Amino acid sequence: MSTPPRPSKANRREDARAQALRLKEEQQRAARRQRTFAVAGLVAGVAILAVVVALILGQANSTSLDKTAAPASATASGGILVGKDGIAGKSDGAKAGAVTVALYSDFMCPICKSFEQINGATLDQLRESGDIVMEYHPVSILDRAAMGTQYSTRAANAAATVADQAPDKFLPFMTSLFADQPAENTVGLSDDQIAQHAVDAGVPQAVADTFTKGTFTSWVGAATEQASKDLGQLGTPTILLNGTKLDAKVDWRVAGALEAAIKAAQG
Amino acid sequence: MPGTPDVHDVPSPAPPRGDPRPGRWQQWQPWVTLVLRVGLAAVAFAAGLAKITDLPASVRAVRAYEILPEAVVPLVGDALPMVEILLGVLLLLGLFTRFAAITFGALMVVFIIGIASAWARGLAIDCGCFGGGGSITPDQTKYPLEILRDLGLVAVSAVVAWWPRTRLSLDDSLGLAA
Repeated sequence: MSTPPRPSKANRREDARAQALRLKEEQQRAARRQRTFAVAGLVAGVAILAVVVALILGQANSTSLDKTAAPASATASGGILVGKDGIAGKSDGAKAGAVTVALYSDFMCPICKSFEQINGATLDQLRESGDIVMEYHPVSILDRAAMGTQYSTRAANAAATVADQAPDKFLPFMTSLFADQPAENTVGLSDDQIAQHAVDAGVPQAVADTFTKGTFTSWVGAATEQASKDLGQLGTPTILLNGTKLDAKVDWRVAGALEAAIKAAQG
Repeated sequence: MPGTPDVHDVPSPAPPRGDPRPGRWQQWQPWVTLVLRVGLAAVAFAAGLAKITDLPASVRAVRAYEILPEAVVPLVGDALPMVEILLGVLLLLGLFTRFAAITFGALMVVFIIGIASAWARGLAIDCGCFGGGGSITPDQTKYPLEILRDLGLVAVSAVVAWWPRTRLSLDDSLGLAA
């Protein structure tokens, strides 16, 4: 049996140095771990706080439709009915079996303007003859395309205010806004310009002056959210005939196509 | 016995992990990852900021996929933009780089699944990746492009997650564990 060689002095020194090094490395690793946990905790805390703030902000602008102050004539789904007389909220006098034509549009949406120009007159005629009842849904899905001025919401709020306060001027005011539609990704019409369109359409100045109060701004937001829920995918314009989406094969740009679809829905 | 390593020897520095060939890649990798990391940060910021300025639109975009139940649609739509911004901050600062890259990549995988599912079901929607979203006409859909872009982002995230050490990172200057 051989005894292990006695460690020399130099060996012992080396031994101690290696051990010290290992200890130091271990301490460094522990400190690193501790630092990492501390920073991770801090970051996680900030992140959770930020997400909670985002959720609160999101909830704040999503009041449900039945809890917002709606225009007098609005339907539960956020529409404004217009019948024979062309007065917002008055849908009586239509023929039996009249088709309800729901139209979701955004005042900044170019295709909505096209739709208005191509089919506006026809829809007016059909409505006046009692064949259809119109259900206008002014929604605001293009706020981001107005360089921060939220033109879609401002215009829709103005339309809702007119529907509420000067219901017989609702249609001419909407026509006027579409005719002077601003391009996307511009600031849109100013509040004064919107008010001027209203006055030109016959809305009393006193009513036009209240647009900037945003009386129905939250209703517009809630009605847009409701429209999104009802339709699943909210795009503009969307046309519903008696609650059913207009068949994608119907090209409303072709003269007579929309009218034919309406007649078909009449049965 | 001569020739056998003495257990008391101070261990010689271990060969570097990862690429066995030291040299150019190891020299360049921290810079390459830096560029990729900042690129990912820019994408995350752009996506998050575009959405957070119009949270109702973000909610509508999530809803348009018709995947999540209505109860969680607003939560996801409202929280997602902030999550993207936070990931952008981490990636920009180089803080918990590996975690941020993996999370971002996972998010992209989820998006790819969502877009592919919308495509497969014949929906005509905009992915809403950078704001907007919702219904568009069928000829306006860009599903292949959207999926390719997100696949590219997954690849970049994977590279950053694999080699998370970068120059000018808080991970480095705070001396955090990888």
